[in-house]
Amino acid sequence: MKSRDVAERLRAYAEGRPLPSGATITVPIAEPEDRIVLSFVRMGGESLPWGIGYQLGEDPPVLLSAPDGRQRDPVGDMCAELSKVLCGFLGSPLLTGEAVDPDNPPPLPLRQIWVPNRSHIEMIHLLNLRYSRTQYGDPARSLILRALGRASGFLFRESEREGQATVIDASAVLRDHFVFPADDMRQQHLGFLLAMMNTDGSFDERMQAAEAAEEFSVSHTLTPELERDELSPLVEAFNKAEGDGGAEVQAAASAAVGEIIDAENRRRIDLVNESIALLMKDARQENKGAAELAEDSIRERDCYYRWQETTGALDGDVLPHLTTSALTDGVPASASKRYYRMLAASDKASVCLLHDDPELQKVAVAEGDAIKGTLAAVSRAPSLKSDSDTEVEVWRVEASASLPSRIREGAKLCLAGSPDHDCIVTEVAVDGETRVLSIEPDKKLAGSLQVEADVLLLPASVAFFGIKKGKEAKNSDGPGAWLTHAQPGRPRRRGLNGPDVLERVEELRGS
Amino acid sequence: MATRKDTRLRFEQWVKNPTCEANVISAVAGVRMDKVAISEGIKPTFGQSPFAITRGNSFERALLDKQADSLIEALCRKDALPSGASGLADYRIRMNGGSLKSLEVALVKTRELLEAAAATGAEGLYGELPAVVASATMEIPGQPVMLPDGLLVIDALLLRPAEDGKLVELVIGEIKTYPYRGGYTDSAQLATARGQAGVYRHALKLFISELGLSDRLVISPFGVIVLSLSGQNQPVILPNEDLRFQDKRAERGFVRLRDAAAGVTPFDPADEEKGIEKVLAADTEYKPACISFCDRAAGCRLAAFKAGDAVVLGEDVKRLLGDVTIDRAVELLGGAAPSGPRETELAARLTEGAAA
Repeated sequence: MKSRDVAERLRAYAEGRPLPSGATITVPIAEPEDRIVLSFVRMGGESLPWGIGYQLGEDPPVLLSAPDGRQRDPVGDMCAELSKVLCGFLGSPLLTGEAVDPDNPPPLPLRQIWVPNRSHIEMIHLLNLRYSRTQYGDPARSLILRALGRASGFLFRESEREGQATVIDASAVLRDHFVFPADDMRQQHLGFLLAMMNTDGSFDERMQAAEAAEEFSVSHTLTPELERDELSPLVEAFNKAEGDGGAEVQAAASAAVGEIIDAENRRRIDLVNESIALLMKDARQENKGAAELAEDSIRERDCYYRWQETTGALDGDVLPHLTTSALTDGVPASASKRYYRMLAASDKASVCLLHDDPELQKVAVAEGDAIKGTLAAVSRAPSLKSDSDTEVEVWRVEASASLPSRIREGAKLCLAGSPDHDCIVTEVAVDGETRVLSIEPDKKLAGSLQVEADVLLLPASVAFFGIKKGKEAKNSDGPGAWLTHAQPGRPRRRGLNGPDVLERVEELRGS
Repeated sequence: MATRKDTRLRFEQWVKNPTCEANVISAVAGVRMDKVAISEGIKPTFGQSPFAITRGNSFERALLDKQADSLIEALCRKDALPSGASGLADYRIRMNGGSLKSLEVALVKTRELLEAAAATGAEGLYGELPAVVASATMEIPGQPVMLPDGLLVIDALLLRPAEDGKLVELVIGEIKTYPYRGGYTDSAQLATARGQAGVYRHALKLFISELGLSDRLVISPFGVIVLSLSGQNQPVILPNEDLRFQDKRAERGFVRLRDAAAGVTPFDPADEEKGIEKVLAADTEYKPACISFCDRAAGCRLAAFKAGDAVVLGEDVKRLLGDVTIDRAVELLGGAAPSGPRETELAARLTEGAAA
């Protein structure tokens, strides 16, 4: 946490309420029919859901539960239900039977999965781990569950990509857009955040409401008291009746368990809906860069999920030919490509929102990534970008040297509002209290500024480098292909606690 | 008074907030904080999920079933045990699904086993010695480190030939029920598991030294963490977990804990009421992490809030503000004249970047 963030938190405390952070909404919010709110509840110690709640757009929420979260079949049935909805929602034709050309799929807008907090994304990963290669039970159901495993895998991997707009953690979005006068741990609780936001009155009244909201879990786990006092006797009754043949007792226990689990999921879904409503009624405009990030998310989904599912469906294959590992990427070339794409996404996410948000610009200047100054002079000199003697426009920009700066010679910057035109820093000097930069602007910017004009130069995106390097990493002929395209050898087993090799050689010689 | 015998839990409780006097007394004297909370009229919230306990037991049962075949096989696959290793010594007490009557019996059995291992050396591993000991129980020897007792139970102690091929090497194994998620496995949970294994390693060193077996048994600097496969009872082995740093941490911790214990006015640990009184009378020092383990945290937070302690806005805020209260920091932020170099520096830091 930087001093600036501390100051913001103190201001929020002084005001007695959460304060907006940033001048724009940086997350694109999809249309209602393109949003699913998803929530999980699991039994203590288990890694699969006990209950699932989802709400597609403005439809009423669908709430599913198993009487005992440890039973594979009821849990599998419930997950299969989710699979049908989720895979279709993400545009997989596998379960809908549509004939789709994988290279030219019908366009699908940005579709988002909203979850209450990070723990629900972890549950998505657990579904990926458990079901991606399952062969358990009825073959028709295992096919559907494998589809859920792959969809979950894509969603989990995508959730790790910076700037993505497909999997949205509601509590993280609120933290990104508001400064809360509370410690980081409490800010993980979506109910706490919303109570702080939505309660009118003094700081104490808000805090009281937030503390009351904290009593209820929003993660995928339930409170131990609820499990111990209410659910445990019901589950016990259900399991006991199974052995005793008490169908009525079992049905009653199952219904009672379902009622509790459903209520838990409904509450979580309501909180997410409340968060969405809060962001939608916010007076701040959506950042123009967010639309670009949304486009990237659509591309990633179509390339890394839909295409794979579609080709699998066309082959009539039970397992589409590519099921990505839930843990890692065992193929060095594709791992390298993915690494570079992640870097590129991170770079893009950090710069593409800057142009439309003065608050983010201020932060970038304060942290030394951007520079705000005055155009002191415009001259002409030979271009340093090329070997030719052609003269180009050179700007002399002067700024205060009191702020830190990470800008060095050769850095690429762009004028605020003109992200597509790069300016190259050719010289950096400090003259007393003034930082002086010589800048060679893109030729399209030549003549666009008058001397003494205010200048705000932001970091330029170098995401395309990452994309390019990613493509190169996949190239089996390029330099380094011996690293990325060699057949990985089996790791050598370490000789465990055996005698030293040299000693062993001596022993053998002796014998 | 039913004092908590799980020394490791108490040690970890102390580690979470060693500067809170009430926490120190609770940890060293084994006074349960939930009981202190009840005496204050606070409803305790840190009970464990009954399902999680059942799941833990069933995972452990599955691992140790059939002479721990599945566990040993998985350990051999990861070279944590030599191929062909076999045999289980199960020292679990009845309460935990074993057959032993009490921890004291488990302690005697563990002692006997270690003496046998020292006597036979690695040769014993091909006959009388087991490859895995479930719930090996140790007592922290010498001057009591923890009051009133010092018992530690290792989930799984592995026995294998040492590097010289002559002695037996002991490897700490820590079993956790949560699923393995590759590089996404919760790093904090893994760090906790390593920390716990480090405490066991240090205690085992002390225990063996007390038995006079230090030169006849080797303790591996590396441990093994056993996790589960998502949704299944299959083990996932994380071998070669370096425990040397965690061992040092435990060593330093025990020394500091002993110092802390020495500072507590002695009282009869069997007297529950007295213990609760002592904890209640002690000073508290709130930290956000207290919310995750202490039933009294909400009350302490309120007290910190009333005192204007910056910790209620987070550890980072506290780090920057130090002893300056929140209200004073807000004044400085609003342009109040700082008094003294500390406030001058703080005011400068808080307004840093405003010029942008």
